[in-house]
Amino acid sequence: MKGFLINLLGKIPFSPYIKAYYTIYHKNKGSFLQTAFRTKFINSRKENMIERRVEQLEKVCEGARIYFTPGERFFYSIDTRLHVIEYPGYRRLGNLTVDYSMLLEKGLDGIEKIIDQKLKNKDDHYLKCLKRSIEALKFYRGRCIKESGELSRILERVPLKPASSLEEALQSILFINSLLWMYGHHLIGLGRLDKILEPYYENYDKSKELIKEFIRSLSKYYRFKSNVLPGDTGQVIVLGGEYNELTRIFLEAMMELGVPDPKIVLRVNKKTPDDIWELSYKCLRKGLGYPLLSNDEVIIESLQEYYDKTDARDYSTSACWEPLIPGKSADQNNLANINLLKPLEDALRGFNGDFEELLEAYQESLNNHINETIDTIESLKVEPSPLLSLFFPDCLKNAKDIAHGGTRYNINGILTVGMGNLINSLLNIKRVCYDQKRIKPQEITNILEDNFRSHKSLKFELENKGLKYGMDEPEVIKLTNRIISMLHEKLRGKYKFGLSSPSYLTEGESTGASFDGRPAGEPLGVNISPVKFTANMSYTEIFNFASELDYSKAYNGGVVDIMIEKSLMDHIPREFTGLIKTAIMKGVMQIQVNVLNPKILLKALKNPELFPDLIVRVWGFSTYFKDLPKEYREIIVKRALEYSKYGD
Amino acid sequence: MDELLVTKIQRFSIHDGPGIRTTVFLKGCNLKCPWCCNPENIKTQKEIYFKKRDCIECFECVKRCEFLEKPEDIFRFPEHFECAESCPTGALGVYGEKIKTEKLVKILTKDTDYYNNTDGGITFSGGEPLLQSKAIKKVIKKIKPIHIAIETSLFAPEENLKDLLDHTNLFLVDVKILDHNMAQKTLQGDLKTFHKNFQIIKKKKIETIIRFPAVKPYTFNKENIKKLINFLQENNIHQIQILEPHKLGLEKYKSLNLKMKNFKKPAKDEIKTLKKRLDEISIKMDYLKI
Repeated sequence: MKGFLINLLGKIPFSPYIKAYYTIYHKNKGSFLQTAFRTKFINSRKENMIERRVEQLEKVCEGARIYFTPGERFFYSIDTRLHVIEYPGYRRLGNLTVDYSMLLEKGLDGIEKIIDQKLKNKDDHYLKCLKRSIEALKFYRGRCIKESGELSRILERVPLKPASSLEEALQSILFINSLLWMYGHHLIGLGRLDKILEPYYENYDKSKELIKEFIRSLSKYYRFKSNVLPGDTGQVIVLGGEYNELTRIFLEAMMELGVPDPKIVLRVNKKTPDDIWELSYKCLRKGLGYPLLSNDEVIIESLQEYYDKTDARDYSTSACWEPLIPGKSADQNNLANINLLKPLEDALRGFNGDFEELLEAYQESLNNHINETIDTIESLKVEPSPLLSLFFPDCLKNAKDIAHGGTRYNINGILTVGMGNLINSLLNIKRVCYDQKRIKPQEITNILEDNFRSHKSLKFELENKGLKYGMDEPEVIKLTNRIISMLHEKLRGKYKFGLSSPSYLTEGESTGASFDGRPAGEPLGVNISPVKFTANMSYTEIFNFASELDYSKAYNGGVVDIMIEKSLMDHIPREFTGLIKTAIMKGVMQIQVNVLNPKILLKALKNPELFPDLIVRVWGFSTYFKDLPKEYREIIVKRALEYSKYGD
Repeated sequence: MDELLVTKIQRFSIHDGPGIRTTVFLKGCNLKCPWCCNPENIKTQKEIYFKKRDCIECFECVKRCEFLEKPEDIFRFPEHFECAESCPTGALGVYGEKIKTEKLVKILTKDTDYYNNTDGGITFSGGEPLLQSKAIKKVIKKIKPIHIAIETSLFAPEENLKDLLDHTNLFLVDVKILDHNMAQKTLQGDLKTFHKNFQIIKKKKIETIIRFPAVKPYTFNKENIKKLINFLQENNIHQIQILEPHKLGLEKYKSLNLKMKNFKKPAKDEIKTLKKRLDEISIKMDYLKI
C-alpha cells in the first residue's frame, strides 16, 4: 500500500511541494501562512538524483541570504527561508555527525585535492559531482566574504585552508555546520569536540572565551533547528572518553551560559577524573538537564557487534543518545519505534495456555510487528547528499555517496517503547492468572477492551501490587532480559535496537488499556525508569536493575531517566557523585537527570510564561518548559512529584 | 530472634549518618515523645492503618470482611491484617512486617557498592532499635564489615546496648529532656538509664553524634537548654546537630486514628541565640531541617 502511494505521488508533478508545505505547516502551526509565503523553495528538475542534489546545493550556495551582526566573534549565517525540496520515495539523512577533524586538518582545498587526484586516474561521474559541490561551497564562502563587512577577516583562511588556531578551527566547523542546516539536514550533531579541537588549544582563558562565543553562535536559529519539539535540535557535543582542558572548558562554558542548546553527552569510564565528575554535578545541579552520562566500558564493548574496536572507541551519539561512529557511520539510529505493548495485545487475544506459552505467543507476535516495521523502513530509498559525503572520508575514498554505501558502516537503529508497561503487565498476568488463579488469561482482553470500567479496583491493584519493572529482583531482571533476547534474535545482523524512545506519549495515545493498570491512551513508561516511581523505590534500586540488563544486545540508547529534587541535590554533592559513579561502575549504560523544584514546577504548570528561564530535560534534549506542549509539561510535573515523595 | 519487626527499609538514605545508607526503621519504642513524627513505629506489634486520601471507595475490603460496613470500621478489628491487605490501592494496609534475618541481610547488602564508594553504610533506626538488639546483632554479624550506625534514645535496658557495642561504628544519640521528672512525665522514660548507657558508649570510645530535637515547649525551654549545655560540657562534646521539628507525621497519625499533639518549632532568632551561645563555649552546632 505504502509503495503504491509513493509511486502515485511520484507521478504528480507538484507532489514535492505538497510535502514541503505539509512539513512547514507542522513546524509553524501558529504562523503557517506567513512562513509559507516567505519560504524559498530549492528545487531541481534533473533526472539523475545525484545531479539533482548537487544542483540543489548550488542553488543554496547561490541563493542563501547572508546575515551578520556587527561585533560578533564568529561568522554564522543561516537563511531560514530556504526549503530544500524532498522527493517522494526518499528519506533524507540526518541525526548524524560528520568528521570535522578531516575538515580542520585539510581544509576544503585539501579535500578538493583528494578529489582531483582521484579524477586524474579515473573519469568518474560521482567524483565530478563532488568537485562541483566543493566549488559551490567555495563560491558561497566568496559571497560571505563580500557581504560580511569586518567579519570577513575570519573567513580569509578557513574553511579553505587547514585550521591553524582554535579560532579558525571553530569558524571552520561553524561554516560547514551552517550549510548542513541550510541544505535541509536535521538534528546535526557536533561530535567529540574536545578531542577534535585539542591540537588547537591555546590557553585556558583565551580558549574559554572562544568556546563561549562558539556556543553562542550555535544557540542561534533555535526555532529553525528544532525538529519535532522546540529545543529538539540534535546539537549534541560529545565530550570525554579521554579528557583534556577543553573537556573542562566546554562543561564550564555551558554551565556559565546556562542555555538549553547545544547539549552535552559526557563519556565516562574508570579513568574519568574527579574534577570532571564534580563539574558534571554542578552542571546538573543548575537544572540544565545535561550532561547525559554515557558509560564507555559498556558501550564500546557492545558496539563491537558491528564495529571495529578502534572505531567503537571513537563513538559519538545521534541527537539523543544512540551511539554511532562520527564521520564513519551513516547510521540512522531513530528509524522506527516498536511499541512493545502491541504484540501483547495480539498474543492475548483468544489465548488459553500457561505462562511459558504466553511468552512464546508474544515472541511470535513481536516478530510479525518487527517485520511490518522493517517493511515500512525499507520501502524508502536514502536520499543522496554530496555535502555530507564530502565530510565522510570513506565516501571520498570509495567515490560513493553516503546514500549508496560510501561509508564504512551503515547500521540502522530501531527504538523500543513500553518495555516497563510490558514487563509490569506480564508480571501481573503471572501473579494474578497463574500464581493466584483469580482471573483466567482469556478474560484479560475483555477487561482491557472495557478499559477497566467494570474492574475499577483491579486497575489499582495491577498498578500498585507485586513486582515491578525497575526493581532489582531476579525475576524482573530475567524477564526483561528475555524480551531483550527476543528482540535481538529477530533484529541481529542488520539492525541495532535500544531501550529508550521519545514516543512514550504518541504511542501511548494510540495504545489501548494494558494489564499494568494503565488506562487506554495514557502515556507509556519513560526509558529505563520505573513506570511509576513509588515511595518504596530508590535510586540505587533502579540503577541496580538497569546495570543487570543485557546491553550487549540492546545498546541503541539505554537511558535511565531520573528526577531529583533541587533541595536534595544541593545537600548531597558527594553522595550524588558517588551514586552516579557507582551506577556506572556497576554497568548502567546511560544516565539522564532532571533536577527540579516541584513547587516551582506546579506554579509553572499553571502559568508557564511566568517562568521563561525554567529548563527541563525531555527525550534526549534540554528545553524551556514554557515552549513544550501541555501534555509534555504535565508528564514532567507528574514524574517530578513522584520522585519528590522520596523518603516520605 | 530470627526475625525483626520492620516498618520500612529506606535505601539511598542520606539523612541518617554519613554517605549513602540504607536505613531500617524498626517498629516498637519505649518512649512517648509528644512530637514523634513516626507514630507507626511506637507500638511493638503490627498495626492496621487507613489513609483516607488514597481510598477510591471500591469497597473491596467490605466485600472481603463480613464485619466491615465501611473501611474506617477496620480500626475496631486491629487483628484483621489480611482484610486490610486486600485493599487494591494501599489505602488500607499494615504497618510492620516480620522479616527474617537472612532476608534482611540480602536486602541490606544490595547497595554495598554504593556504601563503599561514599563511606556510607547501614543505619538501624525506629522506633527504638535497641529493643530488637539480639536480632540486629545477628544481622550485623553477617554483613561485616559494612559501617553500622544505630539511631537511639539510649532509654533501653543496658544489656540490649551491650549486645551491639562491639558491632557498631556510630551511635546517633537523641538527647531529648534532661530533667529527671520531666523525662518521666513527658517521655515516660527513666533518665538514669540514658545516663548510664551514655557512659558505656563513651567509655567504649565509639563515635557518637549528639542530636537534639528543638521542640517548643517540650525540649526547647530555658531549663532544658541549660541542662543540655551542662551535659555537653560535662561530657566534653564539641558538636551537636539540632533538629527542626516538623509535622510531616500528621497523615500517619490520622491513618492510625490518633491525634497528633501540639508543639512548635523555635523562632529563627532563638536558634541564632543558641548557636551563638554554643559557639562561645566552642561547641559546633548544625541546624538540620527536613
